[in-house]
Amino acid sequence: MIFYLIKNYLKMMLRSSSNILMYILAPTIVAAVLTSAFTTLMDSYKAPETFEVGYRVSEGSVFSNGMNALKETLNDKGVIMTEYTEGDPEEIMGRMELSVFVEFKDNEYLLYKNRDARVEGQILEYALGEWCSYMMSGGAETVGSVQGVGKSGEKTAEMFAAITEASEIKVEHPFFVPAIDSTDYYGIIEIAYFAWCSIICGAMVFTAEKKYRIGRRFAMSGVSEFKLYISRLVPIVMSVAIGLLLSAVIGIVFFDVHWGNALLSALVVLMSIFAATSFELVIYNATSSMVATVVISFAIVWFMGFFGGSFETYMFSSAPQVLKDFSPIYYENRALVELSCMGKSDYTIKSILISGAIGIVGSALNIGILKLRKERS
Amino acid sequence: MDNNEIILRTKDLTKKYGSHVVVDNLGIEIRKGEIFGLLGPNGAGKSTTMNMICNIVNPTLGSVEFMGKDFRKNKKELCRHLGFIPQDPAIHGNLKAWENVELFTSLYGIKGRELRDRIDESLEYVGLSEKRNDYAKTFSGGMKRRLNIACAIGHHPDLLIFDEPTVGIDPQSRNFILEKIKQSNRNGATVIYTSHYMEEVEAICDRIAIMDNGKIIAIGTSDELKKLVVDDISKVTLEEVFLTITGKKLRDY
Ligand SMILES: Nc1ncnc2c1ncn2[C@@H]1O[C@H](COP(=O)(O)OP(=O)(O)O)[C@@H](O)[C@H]1O
Ligand SMILES: [Mg+2]
Repeated sequence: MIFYLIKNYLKMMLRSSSNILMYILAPTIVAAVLTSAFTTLMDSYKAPETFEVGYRVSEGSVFSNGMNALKETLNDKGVIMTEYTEGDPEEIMGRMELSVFVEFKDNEYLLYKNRDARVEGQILEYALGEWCSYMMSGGAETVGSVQGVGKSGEKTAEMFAAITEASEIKVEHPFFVPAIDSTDYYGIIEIAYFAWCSIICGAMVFTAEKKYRIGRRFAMSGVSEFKLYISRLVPIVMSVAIGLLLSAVIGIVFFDVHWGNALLSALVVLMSIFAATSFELVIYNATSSMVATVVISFAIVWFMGFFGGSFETYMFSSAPQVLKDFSPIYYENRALVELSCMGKSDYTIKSILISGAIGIVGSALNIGILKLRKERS
Repeated sequence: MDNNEIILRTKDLTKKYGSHVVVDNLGIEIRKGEIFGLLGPNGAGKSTTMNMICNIVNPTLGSVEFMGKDFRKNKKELCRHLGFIPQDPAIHGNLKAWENVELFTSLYGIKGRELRDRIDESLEYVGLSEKRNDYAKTFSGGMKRRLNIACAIGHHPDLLIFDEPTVGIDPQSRNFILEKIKQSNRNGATVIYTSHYMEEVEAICDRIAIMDNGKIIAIGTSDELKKLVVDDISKVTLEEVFLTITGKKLRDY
């Protein structure tokens, strides 16, 4: 029974060509626009092939144990860390023509940046943030990139100290500064973004269904709310997935977008389509208005994308880390970008779990709302 | 009356929207095998009554007994014995005729080969076999009505409810539909037929209930209803019966 429901809803969705076209063309167009707009900007993010960073570690600093990991990883990226035990950092920077200098104190670090070397400074900020996260076993949400001449928070330092005392630090490219060009970045990230706009795919069918009050037939046939919900969820997820897959293929063939790990990336995107559909169906079932649903969900998704790196890259975005952390799109973007440039990412599993959680909670809410509606009819 | 003959019975069926009582303490009994007409002007509460019978709208009060059991409490088991043809077609324009029938017939657990047979049969029944691969949105009003019927009969219900199936369509389609209602009845289905066209009701129904303002004001065969008003029934129409009882006209012309 549910098979025929899904089949016919899928047919209707795939038949509305404008619908599918949106998922094929919109990501491609937006990616192309953003790529061309940000190519020069992202080029300006490119640091010189190699550059030198000065540093100093005070005795007994909580950071000293992790110093090898930091040096080796940065070295692989062409960043050479040179220790200066004596002298005033600013004076050294001037004398040695260093763009960045880091002073690791007891439980905080100070980052000195040369005004003319913005990119180098940002790379270091990002790297230090990642490094701290990594040291705190990769999971610490409290560590962000350090703003300006920054300090790591005291909490960070405490956790850091606890970790470094407890464990030997292994060096295996522990953290990472993505080296991704704008074509790959936007080619990938816009697919992820439009995955979150999945409700459009059901808009026409649901509007017609409401107009002709087709729900009456469902109500009298005694079909369960669960089946009713699944018969909407599955066709939307499938149609959006098909559209985005074609879009991704266009990106790969015509724009040479690199995805890294196709299978994991597909899973990440598919899960986010599930999350988005379920979440947006909650809004639809609660408001019974497709217009309201589209407006509300697109507003939310826009903010999630804004903070999650869908327009400005998350690496160098000035959005506060807390807001990034609240954006499911951030996890997804990061997973996809890291999969693209390193072939693996800690964020893959995080993103899948977050999407899964949203999808499951949303599904439960949907079924609940549908039941409530029936009782109130 | 023998209880076994009653296929559907409503008890104190009431629907209020706010303070507006749309259906008021309705108690009707439908006998197995009959064509029961529910006649009443627009806004009388006919559709609301049918929607409550079909579990589409929850009653404010009262209950529906269907095939000897409380319908709401035995919905899973009983709903497949009921077919409802709503007043305005509930079909998907972006599905072909046969796909519409497939979708709505499958809701009753019919699948595979049997489902395919039922689709053919239902479309054949309403004379749409040739149009099976056309999108419903390309259909004329009359064809949509017919498809609407096809979507409700594939599960072979024992009780068929037609809610004003002939409003706003050409005479040809209208006659076709009335003929189909009689045919379904001959094939064994009990029929409830609502309308505000008294000629139709008079032509096809065994018994008629006149409804106004949410209440049944008279019930019986058309002759019995006429006798309520005058002795010589050849001198009166149902229209006049309605006018006499309620003091108003059945239709706004
Ligand atoms: N959902 C609703 N909310 C409020 N009033 C309603 C609703 N549905 C029907 N009504 C009112 O109930 C009355 C009876 O409607 P209906 O059952 O459609 O009558 P009929 O089918 O006999 O023309 C009308 O006055 C209509 O305005
Ligand atoms: Mg009506």
